[in-house]
Amino acid sequence: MKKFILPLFLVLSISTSFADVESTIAPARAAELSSHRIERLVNLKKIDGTFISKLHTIELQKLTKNQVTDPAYLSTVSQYAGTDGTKNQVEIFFDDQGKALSFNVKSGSAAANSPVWPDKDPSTLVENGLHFVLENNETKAEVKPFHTGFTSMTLSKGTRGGHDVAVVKITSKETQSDLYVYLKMDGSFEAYEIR
Amino acid sequence: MRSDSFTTLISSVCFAAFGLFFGGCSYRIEKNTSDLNSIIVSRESMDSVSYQEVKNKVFLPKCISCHGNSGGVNLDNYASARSHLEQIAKSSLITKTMPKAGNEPLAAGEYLLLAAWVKAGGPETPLNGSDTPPPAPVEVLKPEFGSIKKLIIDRKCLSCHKPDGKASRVPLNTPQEMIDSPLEVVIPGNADESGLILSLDWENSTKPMPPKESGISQVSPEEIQTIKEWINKGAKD
Repeated sequence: MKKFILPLFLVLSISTSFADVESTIAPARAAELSSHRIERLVNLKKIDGTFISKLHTIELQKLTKNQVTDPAYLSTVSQYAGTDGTKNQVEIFFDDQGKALSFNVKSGSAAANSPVWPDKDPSTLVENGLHFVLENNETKAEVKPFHTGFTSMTLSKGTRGGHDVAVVKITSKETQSDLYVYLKMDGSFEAYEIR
Repeated sequence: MRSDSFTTLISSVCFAAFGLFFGGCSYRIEKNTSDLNSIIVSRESMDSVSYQEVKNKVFLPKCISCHGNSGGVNLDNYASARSHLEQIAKSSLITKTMPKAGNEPLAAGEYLLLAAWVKAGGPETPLNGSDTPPPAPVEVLKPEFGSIKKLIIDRKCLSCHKPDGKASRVPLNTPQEMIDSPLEVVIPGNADESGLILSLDWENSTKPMPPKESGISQVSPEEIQTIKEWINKGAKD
């Protein structure tokens, strides 16, 4: 009887862990949660406020899980690079459901040439850009690859139609094209294009 | 001559009776109110209304969750409410843009009571010298989810944090939803690091809630302390 129960238990455990893997949040959601986590860490004064005001990129890596408790994603949030090319970064590890497990600060030199954002802070702009992906991936086929295959996000300031816009550029491993989400300075959506 | 006087008398009596029947003790709300004069309220109701009665019956249930200490139109005290009488008349009685769309509108009785107060000039105490009603008993916030949901979440959060609201990604309907959220809205036993508490701190939060631009008044320090107590006790249902 014991010989039968033990293998059965193992089989059940393995299928449970696969079920967990299957319910992992989408990469774009993990990226969006990264910007929320940055805000939380700043609010808790665990990292410097410049991680919000000078936020530049979020790069996401899906991790191979050996155990159920292993992190599912590593998100690297970077500020604009300093004059010597180095930059301040925070690495955040997330579980399958997007709960932050741990973080690690990698120090570089102070950000240089970071744009001045007159209304909404970069973290909010990034969130809003990513919300576009989260809200439209099911209805706009061309957006879906950026939800399921998200690899990075870059925030920059640009002009469009004679006025300033925030440009959220998103890359995906599922397509050669990039998604550009244009936001007004108040964070509201203006347009998007894929090129 | 006598006949003329008699006719005039009969006409006056009929006119008065008509007036009493249709206007005396009853109220009427015009569907398309163009100005305050078109809202009919009795002289009696104008004479007996007071700020406290309006606060108890209209402002507290329908207005003060937004128009409290948010820094805009504050209806929580007489002086401030009285100073905004024109705005109240315009937004709540004439254009009827308040309460804002999505919130429960004023019921007929509430509308007419407010109209009587505004038309009476916004008196603090009844013009006829009758007693001012006592303040409505204030429901005290308890460190229990039911109380927090009723007095804080329903009033100040759900207009955005409802299933089809713009903040539906952060549901606040049950303690478990808040605990399970990847945003760590509630961390049982750790109020200081719970998102709910951090966001209610208008001075230090990067995204203060309720958003300042929403016009909804902030949660008071005493209320935040009570919510903290609930979280630190385990955030039970």
